[in-house]
Amino acid sequence: MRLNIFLSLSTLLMSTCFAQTAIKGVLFEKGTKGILKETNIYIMPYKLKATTDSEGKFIFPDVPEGKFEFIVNKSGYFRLKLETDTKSMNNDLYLEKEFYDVFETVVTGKEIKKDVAKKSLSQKEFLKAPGAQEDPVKAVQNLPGVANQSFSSQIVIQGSEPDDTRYTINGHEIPLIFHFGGLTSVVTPTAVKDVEFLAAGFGPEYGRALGGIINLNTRQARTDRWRGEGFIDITKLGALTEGPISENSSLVASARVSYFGKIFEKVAEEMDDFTVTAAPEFQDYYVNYDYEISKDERFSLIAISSKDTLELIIKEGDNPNIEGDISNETTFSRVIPRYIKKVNDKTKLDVSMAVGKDNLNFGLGERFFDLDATTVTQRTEVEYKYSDKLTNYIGTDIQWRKFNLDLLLPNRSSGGGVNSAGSESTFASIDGENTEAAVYLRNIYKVNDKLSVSPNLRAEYFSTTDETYLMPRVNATYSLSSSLFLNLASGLYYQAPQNGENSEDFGNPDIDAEKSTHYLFSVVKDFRGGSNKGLTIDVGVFYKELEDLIVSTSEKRSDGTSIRNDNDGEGTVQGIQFQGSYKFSEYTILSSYTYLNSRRKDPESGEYPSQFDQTHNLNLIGIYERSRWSFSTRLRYVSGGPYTPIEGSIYDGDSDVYLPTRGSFYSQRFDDFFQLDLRVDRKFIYQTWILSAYLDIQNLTNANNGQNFSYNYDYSQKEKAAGLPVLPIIGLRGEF
Amino acid sequence: MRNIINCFSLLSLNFILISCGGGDFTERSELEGLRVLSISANTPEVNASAPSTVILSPVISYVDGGNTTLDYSWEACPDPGIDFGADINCDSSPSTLKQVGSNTFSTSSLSGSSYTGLATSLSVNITPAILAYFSNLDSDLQFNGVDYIVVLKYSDQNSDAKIDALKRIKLTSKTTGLNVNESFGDIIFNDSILSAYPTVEGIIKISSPTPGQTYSKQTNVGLKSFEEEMYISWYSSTGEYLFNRTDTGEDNTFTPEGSSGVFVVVYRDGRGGVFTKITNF
Repeated sequence: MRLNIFLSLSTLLMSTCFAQTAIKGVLFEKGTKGILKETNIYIMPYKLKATTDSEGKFIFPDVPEGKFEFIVNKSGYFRLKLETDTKSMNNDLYLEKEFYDVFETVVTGKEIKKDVAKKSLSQKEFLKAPGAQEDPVKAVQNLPGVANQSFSSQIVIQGSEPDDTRYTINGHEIPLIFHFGGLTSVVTPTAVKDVEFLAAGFGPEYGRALGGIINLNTRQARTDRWRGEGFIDITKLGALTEGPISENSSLVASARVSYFGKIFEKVAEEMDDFTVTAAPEFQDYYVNYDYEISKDERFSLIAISSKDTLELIIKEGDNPNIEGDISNETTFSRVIPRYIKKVNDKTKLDVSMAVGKDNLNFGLGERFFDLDATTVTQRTEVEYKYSDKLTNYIGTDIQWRKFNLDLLLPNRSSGGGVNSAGSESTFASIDGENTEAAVYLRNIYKVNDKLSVSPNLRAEYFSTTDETYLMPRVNATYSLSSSLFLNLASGLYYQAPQNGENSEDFGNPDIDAEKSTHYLFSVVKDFRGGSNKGLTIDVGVFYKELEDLIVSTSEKRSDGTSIRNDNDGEGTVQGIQFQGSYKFSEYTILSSYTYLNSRRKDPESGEYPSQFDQTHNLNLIGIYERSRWSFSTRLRYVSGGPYTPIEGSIYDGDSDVYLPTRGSFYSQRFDDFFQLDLRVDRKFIYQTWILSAYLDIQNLTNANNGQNFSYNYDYSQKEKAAGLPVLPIIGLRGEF
Repeated sequence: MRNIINCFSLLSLNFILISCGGGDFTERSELEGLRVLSISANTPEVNASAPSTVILSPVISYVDGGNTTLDYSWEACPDPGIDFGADINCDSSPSTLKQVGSNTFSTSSLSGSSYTGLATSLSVNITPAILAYFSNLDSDLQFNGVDYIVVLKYSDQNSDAKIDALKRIKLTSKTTGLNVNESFGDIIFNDSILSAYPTVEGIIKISSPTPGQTYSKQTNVGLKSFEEEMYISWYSSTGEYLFNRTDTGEDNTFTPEGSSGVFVVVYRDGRGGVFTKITNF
């Protein structure tokens, strides 16, 4: 009895002296609130250990009361050492990552690609590209083969024309890739998974473009938790949110609106030439709902919408054709349902369609251009893995458009890039529809471990020309070693007349599709030897033969009607392109260079350089990353673009304008383009959110890179139009 | 259509950017050197059913060229396709459809060191050959009008000064509603007829402008009516206008410089109808 009393007292005393408490919490990634599972957590000095479960939860059932230290060591994260005590009510832990959004080098080698003519930039890459203001499409301009264009709403690929590039979102064509002449692309950048750039020799999945394709692949929502972000820079602000709706469905939604119009209004007050009546504004929206029907079956529904508006009054000018109220409203929307099913181990199905509206209302004084179009595009692809050696892809790529177009525009000649408006305007009201329907077949045949050959075919019907075109394309890769690849691509491409080129009222209904044959040979070498540091290079030569190009003609038919344009144009493009990246410790150097010779020929103007014949185009990018800081710089050097000299003018006594007299087409060149950009990024990691700030200074040296001339009323005086001045852009992004 | 959309969105922005340059250029309203300011035709639009003659009256200005001789030549032919990039000349025209002429013109007919006024008028014949050519053209084209162009070239015998100008005579199958030259009453400065060179900055405009015509054209949806858009071009040898060009009813502002100068005001319908008033102080 005495012993029992002693033991009880001892136990009581012990439990008083060494009382124990259960410590519970959740281990998060600092800033992102991402759950860290299967991570060991230690409590010192008691040498207790717990491991987080699949939800990041941990529990220490018996921790002696009083002070103690959490210790967490995890690869890729800073060591956590946190002093606390058992009285603390909240024991959630936040582990700070060593690197957030590391700017990764472009991987050019490693494996045989489905399409050797394709390059892509991931979100991580384009978000930090210097000079791109976090924009995926602007970042593409750092790649070889892309022309340098300031203030352009289009991407010019390998010496082709702007009209020869097609823009798609998840494979479905959209009418516009940029807001307001290249300000920013039409989708929230962080909603974009990657941007694909397809140039000479691209595969059979795409068509209707002689130059190439820019495709934005949007991404699914993260499903671990609901998160959001808000962002603002000098032109716009926006927000994105994403998260799980249920166990097998998720949603990502974003919206952006501009406010730079208010700044523009202030600037415009200082200018005599025009008055702003409605500030330029844009807005865009993006929603992606994703539903996992089963492990092998997935459905998604994407909605995207974009709107640009501008109104101003041009008080006076040298041409009555560009005086008066200017109004411009451009909207488009797409709803894109998509169904993906892994039918069996060999077969995969991917079906999607896009339904949408395109509206363009442009007014200039009494003149106008009003387009209202309904567009339906449809894509299907069936992947069939016939054997380990052979995989087949068969697909459809269909586009149908119904449109109403009303216009009253002056007849206009723009040969040699020199515009001169005639005295007459053409009125037309057109209801029409056109269909471009293609089926394609891609076969990837692995002849052996070293050689892969891909004979492909695309067949397409253009209702505008009422013709069906067969377009054989081939792709081959030979692997000299595990890090050295030789690539070959070639193909035939057709592009239907566009922009009313075949309109009976302001074009020529008899013209045919334009044609191009591409050849690409490239060598890809990865010197990194399996690590992520070292050198990778991609060197290629390309050649394009252009036939049946649509060019304007002043010839007339026997009844006096103007032919306006015909298929008598031809041309060639040849070039060398280089892309390299070198990463060592905290430094990365990226470079791209293109040598280009792009020529055109037509019966009325002879042979001349293409407007986008930029002989040398060099981009050098240097990146230094340390801790939460990132510094990057881009140097761009581009040969001056060609232009057509104006040798004089003739006074048009009817319309009171001077009509320029063109010299030889594109026979002179602007000064070379030189631009240095600098970008500084800083991340501030807080417990439950991250603040990212960047300063992107474009044209640091304030070089006058104007690639245009302003002329006086009779073209007797000219001066170089102002290019982009030194332009600091500040952006902030908060993620939680 | 995608590139049309791109094109228009770019056009707006480009205009703004281009507007940022060119501040040091000579204003078009400032008379300087040898210029053609207007060319009026007594019948800007001609019914092409019978031979006729069209009289063209050019107004030229030659600052500091008031006592010299100008060589001038002209050629006339069917429009070779100027709106679609053809060179503005008659080199490719059949000789049967082409007319040429040349002469000299003395600028000493007005006293003073400068000349601003009418040059020698030209007579352009609408010949049977031209009418035969016209009759073979597309009927819509005939209705809407076919341009018979006149290219004038002036050059100073005593200097390098030269100027080329273009005038269109519209040949049409229309018999009524042909285009005419609109007109206005006076140049009004600060609500009074401009009767002396202004001494202060003031509002300048025109009085009693005749309105633009309603005209019809064959379009792809049939016959459609349009209104002429009238506008006024302002010129002076001294002083400065706020705007080089205004719409009808829109005021302009003139700031004088010195005590004398020539005012030229041209009223146009944009289709070939022209009226010019010259006031010299």
